[in-house]
Amino acid sequence: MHQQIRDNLEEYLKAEYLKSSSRKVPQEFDRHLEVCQECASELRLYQSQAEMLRLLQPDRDLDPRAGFYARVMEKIEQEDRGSIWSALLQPNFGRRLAMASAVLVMLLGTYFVTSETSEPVVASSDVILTGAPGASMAAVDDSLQQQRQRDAVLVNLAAYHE
Amino acid sequence: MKGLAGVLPFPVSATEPRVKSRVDHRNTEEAALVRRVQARDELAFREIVERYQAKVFSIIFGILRNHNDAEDIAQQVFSKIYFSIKNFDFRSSLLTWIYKITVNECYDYLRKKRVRKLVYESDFSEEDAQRMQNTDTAIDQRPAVDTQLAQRDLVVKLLGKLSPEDRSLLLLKEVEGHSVEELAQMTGMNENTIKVKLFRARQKLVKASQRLKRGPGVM
Repeated sequence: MHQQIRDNLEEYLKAEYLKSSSRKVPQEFDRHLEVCQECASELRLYQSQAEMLRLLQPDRDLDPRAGFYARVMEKIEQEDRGSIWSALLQPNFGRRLAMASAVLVMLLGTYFVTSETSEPVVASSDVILTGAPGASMAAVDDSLQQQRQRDAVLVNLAAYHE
Repeated sequence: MKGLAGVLPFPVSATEPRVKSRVDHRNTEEAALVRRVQARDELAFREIVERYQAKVFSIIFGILRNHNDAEDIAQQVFSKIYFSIKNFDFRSSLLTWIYKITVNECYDYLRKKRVRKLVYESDFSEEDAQRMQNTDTAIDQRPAVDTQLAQRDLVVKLLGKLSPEDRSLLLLKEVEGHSVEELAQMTGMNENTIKVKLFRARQKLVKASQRLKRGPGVM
């Protein structure tokens, strides 16, 4: 399509649609169409295309049923709730969650490892043993007594078997 | 142009001087309303819904011709507006933005549902159907109605081959009846850009139509 037709195409289509006698298309436009068959046929194509597009004009005014705003707000609330869960599925959030979980596991692991190694040290501390001799003696007596009871049970069992 | 009264400025007539200056969409009453919605003012959002609901319904019905679908899609449109209005940058008018969202939602719906014969499922009431069966004149008109429906189906399908921007521009021009000057004001682009974009969109539509005529294998 030649430039002078292209430049005035929208004006021409509008004027044709409105059947307007006072169209703002210059005279060269019509003169060119008389001599250029290519432009004339292309123009007819765009004209019928525009007519087809106008078939999408609604033939009546439409208003939503009463309570439309309430239904819109309900939908928004539903989508808002959904979006909290969908946020968990987002790759960025998921990556951050995985990182945070890994750090948490490392921290917990470190805590358990250090707490397990420190307890026996505290229990076998010389300070405790030396700082409370009475308590340690009582502990030795208890273990001796337990040993004696175990021996007595074994002797009883052996005698019963015989 | 039905249903646009009170929403858009009246079209510029031939006798009036052309409006060349760009509209600053940041300093309008509409922009103030948008800012209130961006600040999560529910009353302002309600105002937007009430102001544009009829327009949104008309656009959807124009494309889909189904009242039940129009309700669902309109809800989806306003929900989208609510969540994405924080990104509205005032480069175009609010109506242009809403128009684009609405048309996109219609095409998303068509894509999801793969509605092939949507025009034949239009919401004719029982009464309409009876009237068409009983009236002689209606019988005479039936082939014309069928042809029109088939053409509508075709044009909806062809528009689906365009980009959302091209599609909205063509619909705003041909269906809503806006002039190039109005489109320039609404979109914030200059008139020449609008003309070039419209011409390219028309060319693409013609090519899509030619491909469709050549056969489905070519599409």
